[in-house]
Amino acid sequence: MTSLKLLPNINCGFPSPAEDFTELRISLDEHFIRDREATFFVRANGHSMEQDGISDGDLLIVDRSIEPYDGCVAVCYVDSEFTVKRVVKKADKVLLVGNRTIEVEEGSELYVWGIVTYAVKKIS
Amino acid sequence: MYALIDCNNFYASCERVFNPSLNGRPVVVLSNNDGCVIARSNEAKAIGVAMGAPYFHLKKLFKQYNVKVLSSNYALYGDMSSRVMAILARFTPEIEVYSIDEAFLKFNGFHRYDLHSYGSEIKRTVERSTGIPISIGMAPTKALAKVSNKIAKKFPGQTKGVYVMEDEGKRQKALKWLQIDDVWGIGRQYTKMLQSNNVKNALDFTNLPNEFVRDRMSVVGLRLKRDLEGLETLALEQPENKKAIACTRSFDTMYTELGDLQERISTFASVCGRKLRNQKCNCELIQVFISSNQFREDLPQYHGSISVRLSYPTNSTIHLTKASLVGLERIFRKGHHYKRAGIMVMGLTPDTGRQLNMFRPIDHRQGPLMKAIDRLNLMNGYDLVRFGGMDLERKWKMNRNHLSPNYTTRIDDIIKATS
Repeated sequence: MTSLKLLPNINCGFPSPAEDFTELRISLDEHFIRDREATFFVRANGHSMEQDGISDGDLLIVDRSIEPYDGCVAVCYVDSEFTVKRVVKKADKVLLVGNRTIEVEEGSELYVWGIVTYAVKKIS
Repeated sequence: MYALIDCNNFYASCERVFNPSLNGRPVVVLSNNDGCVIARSNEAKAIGVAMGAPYFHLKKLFKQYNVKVLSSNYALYGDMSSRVMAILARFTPEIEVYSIDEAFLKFNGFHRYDLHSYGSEIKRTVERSTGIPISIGMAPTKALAKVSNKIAKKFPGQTKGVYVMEDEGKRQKALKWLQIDDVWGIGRQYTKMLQSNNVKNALDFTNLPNEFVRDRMSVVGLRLKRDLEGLETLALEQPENKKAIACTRSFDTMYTELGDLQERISTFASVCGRKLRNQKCNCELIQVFISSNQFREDLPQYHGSISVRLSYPTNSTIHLTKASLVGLERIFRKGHHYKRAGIMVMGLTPDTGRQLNMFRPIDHRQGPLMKAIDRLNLMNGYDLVRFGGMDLERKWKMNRNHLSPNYTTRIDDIIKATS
């Protein structure tokens, strides 16, 4: 049978008194991501950054828009692999500090891929 | 002033961001089903890999030069493209996204800006934030911005990737340098015609009489000429919804059974439905086609195609599937080896302006159902919720033997760093 509908359903409830005062629920994205376009996620793999609060399996929030600075914790590309380390300048050398510190000689290739801003870890 | 911003070797660059070992190494990206080369790094261009060359012809060359071969990873390229475009949009309110890796920016009221240093800042920001290298060409018109971009790309040493055509002298010099077949919007046919009229470069083209250009190349050619003369003629175009949406594929092998094709066509219908819903449109007409393998001259050839009109505009996967399967049954002929099939939906109308049919009631349950399915699939990866007719065993996977991980869209695929 063909039914003819002239109007959509109309809701005629009493408006909630709280409607004018709603606030948006807290968003983790909003608080932990400063620049959406420059933010990437990286998985930490290993135990050498425990003193900087990064454990094995942590989800790292990496912001590429931040310029590298002395002492920053960064995802670096060195010796054909990604590694998370604290980047420290020392005279004409750059040290990648973790449990095992890597010394990057001047002239050898070091690519600071992005700055780690937060680590998300599973508690329970 | 306008800027044309173009990502350098975009697909290869996307792959390199997450796999820096590819830097300096020739990289090629293959089309769907790993058929032919659709993108090349500069190193791959240098060893003579042609655009569109079939992969199986080049296997030896690739081995010899240690070329990294990749299947196209559109989830990755799409995400990286939207990052680049969103950053570009911070620099001006007027932007036209021209393709996945190109955008026109308009700078109105930027007289006080040093556009060259502004361009360098744009370049630095995009490259730092996304890792994608870009080239920037700026000029008083769109067509000239395209020319400037070519200069920025061709002479990276002098331009550092940013070129501003700021005066008449530079315009003349640039147009004289640009060969006619390299001019934006001038295809092979026009190139031939112009060359036979002694037009060798873009400057010669602008020196032609207006009447001649209008006569031979219509008003489109005349607009291009004026734009190249520095008279602002082509404006930024606002994104417009597509007039038709298609989903067609070649199969990895040939199929002879109706059942196999039914499965394929159902899957295509669901893709088209999703695309329609994304752009908030309905379609009135659905075209289905199947064809045999044109490269197998030893087999009988067949191409069947049919249009099916829907009783009212819809974007429901259920309706689209039903209609396209009716069409398929009509065109299917037993005894052929099918290599390719597809559907195209046409007659698109926006959700808001849907013409109702007096005698066929609209099924109002379809809208919310499709919305729920789309949301589930978006959250959990495409095609989690599928219809019975679609490929449930996933035996129809495309050939993508060299696919890189979805570094930015799947949590299990993100890069790992030793810590």
